[in-house]
Amino acid sequence: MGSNPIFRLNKIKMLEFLILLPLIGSLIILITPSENYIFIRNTALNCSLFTFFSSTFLWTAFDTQSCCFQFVSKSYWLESLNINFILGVDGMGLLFIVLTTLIFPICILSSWKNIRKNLKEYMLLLLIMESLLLLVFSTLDLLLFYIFFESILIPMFLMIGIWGSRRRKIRASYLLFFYTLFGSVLMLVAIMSIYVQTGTTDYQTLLFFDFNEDKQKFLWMAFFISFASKIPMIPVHIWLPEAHVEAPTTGSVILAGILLKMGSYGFLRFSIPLFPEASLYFTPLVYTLAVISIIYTSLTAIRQTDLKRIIAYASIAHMNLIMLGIFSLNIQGIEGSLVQMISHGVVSSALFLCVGVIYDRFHTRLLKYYSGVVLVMPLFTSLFLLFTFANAALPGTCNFVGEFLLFAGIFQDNLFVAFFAATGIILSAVYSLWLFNRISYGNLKELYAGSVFKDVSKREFHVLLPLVFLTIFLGVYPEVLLNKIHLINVLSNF
Amino acid sequence: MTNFHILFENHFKVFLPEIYIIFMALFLMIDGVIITNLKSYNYPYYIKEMSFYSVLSLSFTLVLIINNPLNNVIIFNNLFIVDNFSVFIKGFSILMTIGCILISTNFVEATKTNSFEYLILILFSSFGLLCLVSSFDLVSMYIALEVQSLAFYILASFRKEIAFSNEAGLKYFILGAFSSGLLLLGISFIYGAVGTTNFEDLGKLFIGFDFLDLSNDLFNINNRIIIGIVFIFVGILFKLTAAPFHMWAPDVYEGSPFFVTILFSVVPKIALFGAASKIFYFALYEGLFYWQLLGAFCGILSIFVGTLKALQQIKIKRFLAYSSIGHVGFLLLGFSTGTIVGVQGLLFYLVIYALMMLHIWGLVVSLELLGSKRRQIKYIYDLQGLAKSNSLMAYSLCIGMFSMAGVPPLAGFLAKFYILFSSFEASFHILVIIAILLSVVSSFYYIRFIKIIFFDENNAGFFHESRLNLVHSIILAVTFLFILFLFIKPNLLLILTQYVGLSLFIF
Repeated sequence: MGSNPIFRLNKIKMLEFLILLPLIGSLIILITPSENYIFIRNTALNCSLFTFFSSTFLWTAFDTQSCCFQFVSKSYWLESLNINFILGVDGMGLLFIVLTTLIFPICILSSWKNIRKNLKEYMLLLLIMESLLLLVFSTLDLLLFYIFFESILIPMFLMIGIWGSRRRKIRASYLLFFYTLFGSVLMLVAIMSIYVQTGTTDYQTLLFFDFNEDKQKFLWMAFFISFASKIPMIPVHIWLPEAHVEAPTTGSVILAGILLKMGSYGFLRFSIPLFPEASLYFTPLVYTLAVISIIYTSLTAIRQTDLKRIIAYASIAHMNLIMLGIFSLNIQGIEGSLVQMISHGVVSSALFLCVGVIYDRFHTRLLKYYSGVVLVMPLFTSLFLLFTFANAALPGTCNFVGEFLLFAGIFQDNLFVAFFAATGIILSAVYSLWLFNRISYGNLKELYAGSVFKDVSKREFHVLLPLVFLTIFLGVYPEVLLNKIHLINVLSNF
Repeated sequence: MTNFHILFENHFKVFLPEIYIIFMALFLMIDGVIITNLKSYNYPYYIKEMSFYSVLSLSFTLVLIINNPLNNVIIFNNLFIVDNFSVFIKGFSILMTIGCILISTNFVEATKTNSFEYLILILFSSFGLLCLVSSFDLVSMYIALEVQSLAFYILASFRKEIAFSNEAGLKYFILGAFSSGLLLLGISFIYGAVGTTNFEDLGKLFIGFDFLDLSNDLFNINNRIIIGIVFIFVGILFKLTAAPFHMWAPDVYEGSPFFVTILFSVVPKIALFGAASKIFYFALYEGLFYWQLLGAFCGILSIFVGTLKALQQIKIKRFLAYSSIGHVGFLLLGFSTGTIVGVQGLLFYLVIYALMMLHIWGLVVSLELLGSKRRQIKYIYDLQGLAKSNSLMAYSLCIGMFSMAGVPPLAGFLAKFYILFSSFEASFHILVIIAILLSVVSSFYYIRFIKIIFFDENNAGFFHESRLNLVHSIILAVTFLFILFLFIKPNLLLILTQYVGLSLFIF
């Protein structure tokens, strides 16, 4: 199959095509007058769906037997500085690309009715963001990775600021902007330092370069601060609940589903392969911070009253569990963390969508106003139940597979850490079930007795349906994900 | 003396742009004086025509500069030089002057400042700038700088009926004269020590000097030269509004009329950095140890002051003044590296900085023209409600501000990256980290613009959704597209600046 030249040509162009598609869509939207909003949102949806469709070709054309980067294409960018635009994916990048292209049509469909203000700009920003995210996960150049990693801030900042709900959104968008920027400028210094020493920022070339140990520690720390504030780990986590609460549903979904994964992707892609000794050296630090984060945020999640805040804190706990898996530095841990990242992307997105669904009806996010929703919205409640169970990692859901592998990895490495991290599982069951219980059961509040509650509409059901399918399917047959990443992990570890 | 014309034949050819622009300035002055006093024309205001003519003559000057017949020649008894570096700086500063005039013409008409003289003064100052950039001797540099400054003093106090403007002119004049005095003192110290003021002679003379050998005798020749270098550098820092010498800048920027402020914040910085690179990379390069220290210190201090003082500002003009001080800090950081990459970074930053400033100023001026009451947009909060009434301009201001803050992938980021990279390469490790952290702090107030435009929801409907005029929209579109899409092919600009920067070193 690989020897057919036509097929090969297609493979090479595939990634660029995928990245250009949302941009073409945004161009079409740009020249459409904003009164024509039906056309705009149809274009956005079709464009993102088509991108997803194309990414499935990428998925099938991906050669699992090869350990090299695939679909590699190189175009000149700053050739006088030897910094070039190199695109390529391995199994890990592929997973995130497909996750991104999957989440975006869902996002666009979920904001079908409830975005009234500036729909054109909204769709424009969404499509541009999709393109930038695809670039983040497919670029193989350190400086360009930094550029795209940072440039997500512009659309995200505007999205929270413009389409957020309350006055507090300004604080939230500021927090998002400054935590990320402060964290990542040090990464820029580290990249400059790497470039001054090696004369290149090409990732594939840098893999063959050994930095001396002291320098590795500095570089690792600079990368760590930027990725850790994206994950987020404990001292720099406060922006995430704020941003989640104030963002529109779509913004929350993108934040939880994809943006947080940029941090863990960065660790797997850059920190560990480029600075292996420093990674080993700093593993206790990561373990400590991650365990503190898991327990602290789980306990915090239990006493929140805002629906989105609970899910936000839960996703911090899950992301830190993923960090433990990554830094267990063995196959089970890393593969588990990858599966967990994808399943967290699916499940927490679905939970935010569920919150969005009931927010559209009740117009509040405070938990104490909710009760007995099951009496009026049975279908919604059963969907919500599934995702709640998935969030608590019930066997049969995709989170279970991820957490099982993660803990298999962590137990091999450090029993003590595994013990404390495992309390996170219990606590996750506590807050997930508590959240579900408070919303669904009990008496229907009299406050809302007069108004009419409709169950999930057809559109909302179809927004959630692919996520339901993935939650169960990946829980039953996770080999779909794992066979894409087996080989690359084996090679990167030995 | 009989073959005078043969002796200087090539010299006049090379000096043609300067000759042309001074003649055009004189001609237009006479023309304006005559026409505006003619009863048969009903004493016309003559601003639109005059600005057209001055733009035309500046464009011809630009053509003459680019199209110079000889390259790398030293003319008029080693007083001036024309090489790629000076051609680039001259051409770019003339281009920016044209942009400033085009932006401000409509505004001048709208505010009924009915005197055409400011255009003549701009032409005179451009003459000064051209001479300054191409000067190859400390004395000719000083005189050219004075020609330019003199025109600027008058421009600063151009609206003589407003007290603020008078204050600005007076402040600018006193401090400008003071800094010129320092500069002259430095020049005389150096002349007294070595007996020459020519750049090439100085550069060759200083090669053998051991500047680090300081004896106790204050009037040792080394000490005299070092004092001279420091004074010259301080004089230039004064004119550049770098940090410890910046106090006059916000007041002058605020007091001067709008069209002058635009010019001040863009054009002289380009020319002065060009001239400074000539002096310090050609003549005084051997004293690198001293002026590098001074430059790096003032650079970091400028970034610091520009960042922290701009946080408190509520007036747009003062805000932009402080923000330009911060940018000067970055430029100085690149300048003081003393490497080829540093100069290239400096040029790269200068181009992007000038275009960004032109973009922001153009937006502010055209918003002022669109404002319903024709009242000045004085405070930052006057921009509230822009997103609702004119979303295209709101988004383009937003992109401009993100670019000033240095958020990738916009042009401002590339500029900052390259200049910080060059400083990093010159082992300014700590300075780079400080500068980069301060630039994060500085993004706070750029972000505040975006917050005011997009997120605040009162006072909507201040701006008409009327059409911009053609010239403004063309300039804004060009600068906007440059800022947004430089990322796609930055290599073109980078190669140009690298080539030009290289020509400073390889003569």
